[in-house]
Amino acid sequence: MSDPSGSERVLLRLAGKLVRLFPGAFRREYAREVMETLRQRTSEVGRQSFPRRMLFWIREYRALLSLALRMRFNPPEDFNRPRQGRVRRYTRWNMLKNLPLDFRRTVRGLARRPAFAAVAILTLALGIGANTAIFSLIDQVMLRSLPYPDAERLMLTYFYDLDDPQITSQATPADYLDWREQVGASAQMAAYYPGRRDLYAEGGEPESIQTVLALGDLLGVLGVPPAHGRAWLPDEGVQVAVPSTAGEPDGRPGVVVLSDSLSRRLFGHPQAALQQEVRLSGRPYTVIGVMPPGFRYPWPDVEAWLPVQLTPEAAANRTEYLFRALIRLPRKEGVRERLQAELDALAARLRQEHPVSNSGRGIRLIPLQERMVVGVRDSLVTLWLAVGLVLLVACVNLANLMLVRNMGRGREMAVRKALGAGRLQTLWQSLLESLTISLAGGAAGAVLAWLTLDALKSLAPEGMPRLEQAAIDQRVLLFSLGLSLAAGVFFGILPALRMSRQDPASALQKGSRGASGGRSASRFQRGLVAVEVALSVVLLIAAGLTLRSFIQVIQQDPGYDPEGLLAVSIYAPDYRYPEPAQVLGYFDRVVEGAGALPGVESASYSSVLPLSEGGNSAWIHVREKPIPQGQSPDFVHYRIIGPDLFRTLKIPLRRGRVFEDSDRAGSSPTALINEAFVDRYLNQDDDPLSLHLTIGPKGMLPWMRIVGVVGNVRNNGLAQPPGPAVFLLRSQLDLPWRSAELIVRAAPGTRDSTAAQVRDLLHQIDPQIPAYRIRDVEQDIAQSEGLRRSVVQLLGGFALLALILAGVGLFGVVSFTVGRRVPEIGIRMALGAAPSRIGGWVLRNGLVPVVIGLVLGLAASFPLTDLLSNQLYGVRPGDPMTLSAVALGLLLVAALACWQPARRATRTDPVRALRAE
Amino acid sequence: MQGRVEERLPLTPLTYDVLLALAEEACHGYGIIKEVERRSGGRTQLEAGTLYAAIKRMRDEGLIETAAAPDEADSRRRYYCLTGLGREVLMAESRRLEALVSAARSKNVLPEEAR
Repeated sequence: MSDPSGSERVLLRLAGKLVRLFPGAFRREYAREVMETLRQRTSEVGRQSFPRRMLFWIREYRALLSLALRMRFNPPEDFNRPRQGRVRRYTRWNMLKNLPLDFRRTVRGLARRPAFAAVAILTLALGIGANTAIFSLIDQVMLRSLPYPDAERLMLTYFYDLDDPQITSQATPADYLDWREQVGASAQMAAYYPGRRDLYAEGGEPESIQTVLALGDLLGVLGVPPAHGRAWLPDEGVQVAVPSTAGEPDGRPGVVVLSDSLSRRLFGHPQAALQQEVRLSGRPYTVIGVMPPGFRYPWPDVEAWLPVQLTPEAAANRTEYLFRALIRLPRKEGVRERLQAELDALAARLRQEHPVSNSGRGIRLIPLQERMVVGVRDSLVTLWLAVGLVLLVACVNLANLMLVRNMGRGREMAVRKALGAGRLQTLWQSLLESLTISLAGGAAGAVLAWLTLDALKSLAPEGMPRLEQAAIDQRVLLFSLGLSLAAGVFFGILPALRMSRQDPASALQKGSRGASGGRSASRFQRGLVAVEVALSVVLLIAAGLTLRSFIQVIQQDPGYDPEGLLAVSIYAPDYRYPEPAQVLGYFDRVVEGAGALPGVESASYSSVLPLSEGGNSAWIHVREKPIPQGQSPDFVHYRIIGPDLFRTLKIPLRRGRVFEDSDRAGSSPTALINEAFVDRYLNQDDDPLSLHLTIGPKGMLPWMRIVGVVGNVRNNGLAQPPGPAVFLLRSQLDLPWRSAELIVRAAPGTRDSTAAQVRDLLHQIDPQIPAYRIRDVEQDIAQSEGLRRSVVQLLGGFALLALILAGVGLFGVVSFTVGRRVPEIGIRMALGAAPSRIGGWVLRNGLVPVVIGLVLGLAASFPLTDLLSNQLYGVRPGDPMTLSAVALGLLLVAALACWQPARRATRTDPVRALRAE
Repeated sequence: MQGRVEERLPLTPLTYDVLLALAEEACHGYGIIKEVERRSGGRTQLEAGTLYAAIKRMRDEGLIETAAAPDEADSRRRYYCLTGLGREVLMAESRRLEALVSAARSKNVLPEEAR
């Protein structure tokens, strides 16, 4: 019996390792004997031919492994039962029956490589967490149906501009009544508009609450009856004139339905509120009902619903676009199409009958749900796509990790196959591992989403409907479970397929490193890196473009200086100031008082705050430029302002003069226009200061002389170009406007103290008028771009995440390649290759897939970022600056990822590298 | 006792092989492998792992036990021999197989010359 040769010693040592897989009890009892027996057998077969020897070892290994596994995972009674055949049971593989066993083995396998498991699970947790969080928002805001019965049958009815269907508007009272008549009995219909009311609670300060003024059975159309009490009857509405601020002429007490929260705040309990009286803006209302908790249609801050009726004059009004019309379609096939056709016909008729007000207007039904998300849908879909891409990058990264890991396990898999494990079984085993990882990652991701959801909500812009209710609930969890499984299969299948194709004999015969299919595998890996890079590039470009847009937008000059500006709504209710002169007196007192405050540089007021969307608009007539017969006048924004507004806002004067003391009630009426007005309506050689204008229906207001031209103000958000605007002096107009925005410019550094002073001043002047919130105009401007800002932040975060993942993936692949090529590098160095050449070689190796991915990503970014184009401002999808910045940044990260492995390669000691071989 | 023996039949080929190998004398693991190989004309080659798993099981079942080594010097190996139960089981299985074989003969499944 000769001593075993070197290779036999290695083979014996491996057998020794396999023996260690047996349960402890068996090992202690038999390990020595097994090894001794094997040694004898080894020297016995040592004389045989090489293939026979290999066959011998494969059989021995297979027996050791299969028995060890059987002893470990089968209960003893099962194992001890005599059975036909020896290893058959294991090879006759039953996926379901073996699942617990396979799963345990997988978990054990992962536990043995905690670093791999941690990296894999963390990667997925980030990807799935981001998707889960965004999905919870999307689900809540876009997918889930509204909390009304058969909500999909609720439609809003709007006017739209025939030239640009994107432009919609509400209905005037007369238009609404026309619609109502046309719809008739074929569908339930109601209308509403917002109105603030002053609420006087017993013994408390007056406060201003948001109310909904409803024409018709709004609650019935919504299908939500009050939780306590009843809804209003058709004739219970109080009469209102339009505009609503003109007050309510008939003195009869009204009825009101309160929100659950207001009823609790005022009366302790909804039941206790019924039949109680509340005073809203000086008028008594009887509480007839209380809505269920959480019911807030149509705005989140609504506290009360008041039925109203139109005065005869109001019913004929075709100038105040005020009413939102809500329809509940009956449950019949094709009813929407039929109704839409009827409304189209009606719109055509109205265009003929009322050419002045209705020309160019169509009528359109829009599902309520669609309408509610119209402003945020594009952004949400963009974010959804972005997190989808992040998850893809994470999956590709994991596929790479799995591939590397599976290469290290070529021998194990070969042994399993030698044991008779079929290809399907090997595949399943490998897939099971990726599924285990993905489920763990998904669970961690759900926790991550849960932890970050509040932060995400706070990032989201104001006014995203139903955002507050977004939560990680069953639906969302189901989504992330599905996503996890899909991800597990997605990143597991390719490496699993590769591994299951391996030929066991060749894997066992190869060198001790156990790697196989080296060249094709590393090609495959580099392919994955290229894909990863391409996906990241797309995300980075999308993020870069939105960031550039955002910067462009916030750099837009709003047209005035917002720094230190404070604004607060002031309101002179008719029950306190019935006469127009009294209203003006109240405004004057407020402005004078505010101007005299120590921290205030100047103060004024305007009917609409700059940068508040919409605002007032009315027909414009220029006396010297009559409108041709058959054409309708244009709409322009108008502002009814106090003196000194331009000084307060620091809007520059371009021509003529601003309002002066000589412009007052009784003097010849004057007006100011902005530059956009000049550009739009006047010719080059017109002298604006020689013209006269008026707004609204002819004859409502006198002709007013234009005395000056002021700079443009961006009223509809910074991204919108300024439109033509007209400024009229409040004191010269005999209009029933009772509200305005007090605007105060605080001296530098006194903003907070000034705000407190203004609040005290208002209370001093009239303690009966509720205090409104004092707003910081600078902050309002920032918030007006809130959606854009949120998208930039989130998209940027996701792109960064993708970039990091891609960098980590690249680092992994390059260092793995270097590690496997140590002997080759050693030989090259031994043959005289300079370290710098070796480093360059590694770097080149790593950067080739990056460059390929970069090119792919740049190419793919064009069609993909086209989807973004309507969210962009001032940049185009192919913006060269963004593209080159992304390319540069990516190459930098790639070089960084390659740097450490390259350095390691240059420090290879040839002697040691060769000895390892 | 009879019931305990009958319960165990039929034996797996492996169990029968090991019992048969130990029928005449106590033997160590390597010896069992060689004996099985010799008797089968080299067709059955037991792997070490398979053998020792079987040994453990058969010891647990009381079919075999360790025996004093005839060669005191070789402490690395253990010798195994049949227990009374083991011998009975071996006999019972052999009888069962014999009955099967003679049944096969009576049906002319096996040619007469082979006897």
